[in-house]
Amino acid sequence: MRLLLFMLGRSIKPAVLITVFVSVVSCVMLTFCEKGGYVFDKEYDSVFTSLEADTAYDKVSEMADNTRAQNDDLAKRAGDYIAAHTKPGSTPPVLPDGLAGQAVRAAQKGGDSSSAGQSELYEFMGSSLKDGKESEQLIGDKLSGYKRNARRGVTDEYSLALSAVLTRDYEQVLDNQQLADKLYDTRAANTYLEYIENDMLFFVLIFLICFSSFSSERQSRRLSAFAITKAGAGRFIFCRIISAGLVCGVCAVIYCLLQFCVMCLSGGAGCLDMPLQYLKGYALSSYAMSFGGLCIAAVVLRVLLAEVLCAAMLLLSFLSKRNITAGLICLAPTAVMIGLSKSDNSTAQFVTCKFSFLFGGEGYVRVFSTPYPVVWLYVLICAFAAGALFITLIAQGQRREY
Amino acid sequence: MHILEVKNLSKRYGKKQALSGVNITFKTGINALLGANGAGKTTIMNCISGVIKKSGGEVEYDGEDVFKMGERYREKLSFQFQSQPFYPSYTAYEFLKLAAILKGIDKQNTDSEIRRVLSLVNLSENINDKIKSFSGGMRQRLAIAQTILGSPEILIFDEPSAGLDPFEREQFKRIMVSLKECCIIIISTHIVSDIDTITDELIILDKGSVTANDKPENLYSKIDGLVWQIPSEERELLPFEKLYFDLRAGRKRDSRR
Repeated sequence: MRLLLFMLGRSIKPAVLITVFVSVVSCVMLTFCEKGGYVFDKEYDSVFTSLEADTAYDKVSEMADNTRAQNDDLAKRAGDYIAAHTKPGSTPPVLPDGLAGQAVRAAQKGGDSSSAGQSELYEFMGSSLKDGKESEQLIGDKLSGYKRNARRGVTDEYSLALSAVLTRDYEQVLDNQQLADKLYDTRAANTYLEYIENDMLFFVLIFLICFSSFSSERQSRRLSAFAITKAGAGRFIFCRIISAGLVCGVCAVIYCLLQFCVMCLSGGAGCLDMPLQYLKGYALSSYAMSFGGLCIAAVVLRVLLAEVLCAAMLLLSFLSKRNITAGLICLAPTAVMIGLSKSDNSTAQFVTCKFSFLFGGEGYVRVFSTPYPVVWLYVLICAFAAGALFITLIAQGQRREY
Repeated sequence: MHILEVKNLSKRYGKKQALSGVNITFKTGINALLGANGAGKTTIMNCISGVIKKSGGEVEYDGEDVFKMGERYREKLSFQFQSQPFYPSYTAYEFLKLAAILKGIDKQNTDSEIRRVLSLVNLSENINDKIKSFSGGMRQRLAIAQTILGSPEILIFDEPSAGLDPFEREQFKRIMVSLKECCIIIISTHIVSDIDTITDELIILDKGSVTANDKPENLYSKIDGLVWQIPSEERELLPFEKLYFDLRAGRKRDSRR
């Protein structure tokens, strides 16, 4: 225990410094992404505050239709004028002052009477509200589908079991949605989720913290020196693994929390109690949880992923005698994860912990004719992988004992 | 009195036989391993301590196989490497604290023990200095401090006086003499003056075998009265050497005039 505490005390400081540095870079990038979502900030707020939860999407759609109709009308009038005044062989006619002014103002984004800008704003707002609006209806359709299956006499064991669990889950979701009668501004939350799903710096952080853990001990022959003390190589390596795992976990939590704080400060704090289904791409989620719950789950899952990567890198680091070799070898899992995070393949999405894949859909996979929650499967696989890698590493350490 | 016995020890690195059938009995006191580079001094010490695996033979401590003793043997053992590995970002205190934890020294005694060994090697003033700021000699002294920390029963030093100034060499000798009543001390060196006055047993190695193993006075008596003749090979002088000698000869002729 003394050895573990000593190692923790010594290794946490440089790791936290690296984490803070990488986190700051990541948070700055996240802030820029969040700012991108706030492009119509003032207009958005003024329209948004005038809306009511139940009718928000319909009203925004109506407003979008109106501005679109205005644009079409203006375009038609301009077209008609040009058609009426065009003579063969002569130059195209010039629009009269009134019509030309309207057309110019409409085309100017951000202008007081810019219908192009307004149309874009309503469409953007509509896309944010669409999932929330459609979620209830989509889930309702799903539920009636499952009930129809039961009436039609479907006998497949898995289908029936899946219908039963999804009916239970979706009923809970609908109950949750009924309780939430507030209108949520989902811009910050959507941007945050999209950002952390594609966040490559997270993998870089784990690499920076872990790659030299054992290679530096071997290169400097400290491992040989410590192997002949009372504690021996086995206990030294065991404590080193535990401390590296804990430090990696702490750093991952710090990194995720800093990103979470940026999201909250960017206006996402108001969405923490919002049902998950109101987020973009989560309309059919079977998880009866809030956005805040998803944020907690995201931190836990990312920490788990960090532990698996940490274990893999510690093992690779242990097998490398030199720092430079370990650095090059440990780049492989980092590069693989970054590569996979760009793929649309479902396995790649599972491996890289895409929250929209894990939480966005029905959320069950078939395991021996039983529907198993995909998130729990992910947790189990991560725990198993991390455990197996750590045990292999400890066994490697024991081999250096006598 | 404790005995560390090496029986028929052999070590092979690929095709090269580094040690062949080495038999040595180390008793409480100072045991010096002397030999030229590549004679097998470090290999013997690495095999005794378990840093490397022996190819054959046995190592026993008080009649018990040390590799079966495991932790019980390791807690009695301390080894100073030829180039001791450190954590450069640690202070001397932190490094010795880690060593104390690894050696299983009680928490209550750790602080006093660290201060004791640091004062023995004259590093008390540098207790909170980072190791990366230490000179080579200071690092060597810290390595000695780390080795004697916790008063182990078997102390192994590989070239301990490298980098030490004359004063520190004498100090090191004094420390060894103060410990020799209760410890088996094994010192490897090729500098005879480091151990000639303090050693109890002198083991001379050559090409992986023991050529002499006796008390120094007995070994000295064997060579007493003998004259060493060191043949110098005659070779053709290089042009600049020729020039140098010609110039010297000319200057001598001039000074005689």
